[in-house]
Amino acid sequence: MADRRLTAEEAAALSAALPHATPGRWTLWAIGGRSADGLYRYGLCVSGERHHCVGTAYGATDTEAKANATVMLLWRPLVEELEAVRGERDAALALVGRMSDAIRSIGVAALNWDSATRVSDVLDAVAAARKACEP
Amino acid sequence: MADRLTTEQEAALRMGARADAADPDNGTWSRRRSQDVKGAFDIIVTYQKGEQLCAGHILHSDDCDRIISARNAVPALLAELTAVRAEKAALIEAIESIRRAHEKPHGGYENILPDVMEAAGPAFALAKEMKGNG
Repeated sequence: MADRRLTAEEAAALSAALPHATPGRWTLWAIGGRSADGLYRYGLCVSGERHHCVGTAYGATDTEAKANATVMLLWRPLVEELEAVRGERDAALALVGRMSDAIRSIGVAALNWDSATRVSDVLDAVAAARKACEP
Repeated sequence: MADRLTTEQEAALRMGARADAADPDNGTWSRRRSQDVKGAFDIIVTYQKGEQLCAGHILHSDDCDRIISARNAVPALLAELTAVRAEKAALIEAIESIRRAHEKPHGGYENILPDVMEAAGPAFALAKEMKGNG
């Protein structure tokens, strides 16, 4: 378990921070070099479309600027992956619950072994499990 | 389905969130003060952990707050992502275990039940624990 889960407010604040970011579509441009103000900078734009630049990361050194740009570029995909994996985890958890119910019911039915329909419950649950496990 | 972060991306993200921190664990990035020298550097960002304070990046004001927020959130996000990935993997493995038990040759439905129940036990315990922690 993680030590700390993000609150809904934190997640919302993060999601609002870079409204134009689309995972997988962002890239860097204007790589490196100090500009007139002495700062290193990386422009953040939609891939292949410089005029859609919607953010800039700065740093006192090229490394610092790139570190800031990296965070800006990747945190939204990180948030989206976390949300997706949470959903997959919850789906798997629900599936285990279904299997639990089905197997528990067949266990009860097995006492008098009138179990044909109960077995079909288990088969359905297993089929759903197999589908969920497919890549 | 969201794009998955590559290992290299995760490492870069972690490095970016921690860049300049003398002791990168459990600290917080924040604005320290504004500076207006020749119109060049607008903000000095600092990293604080307990009483320790160190000057960090010098940032332009445009995206400073976004960067600070993102940098502060990244460690918790990565930790939670790692935990949830592990939970999902454990559940999938438990489901696969049940499936394997069910697919074994049994010679009749009445013989399936013990194997499936045995395989299901850990899965149900895991699910119960996760619901308790959720």
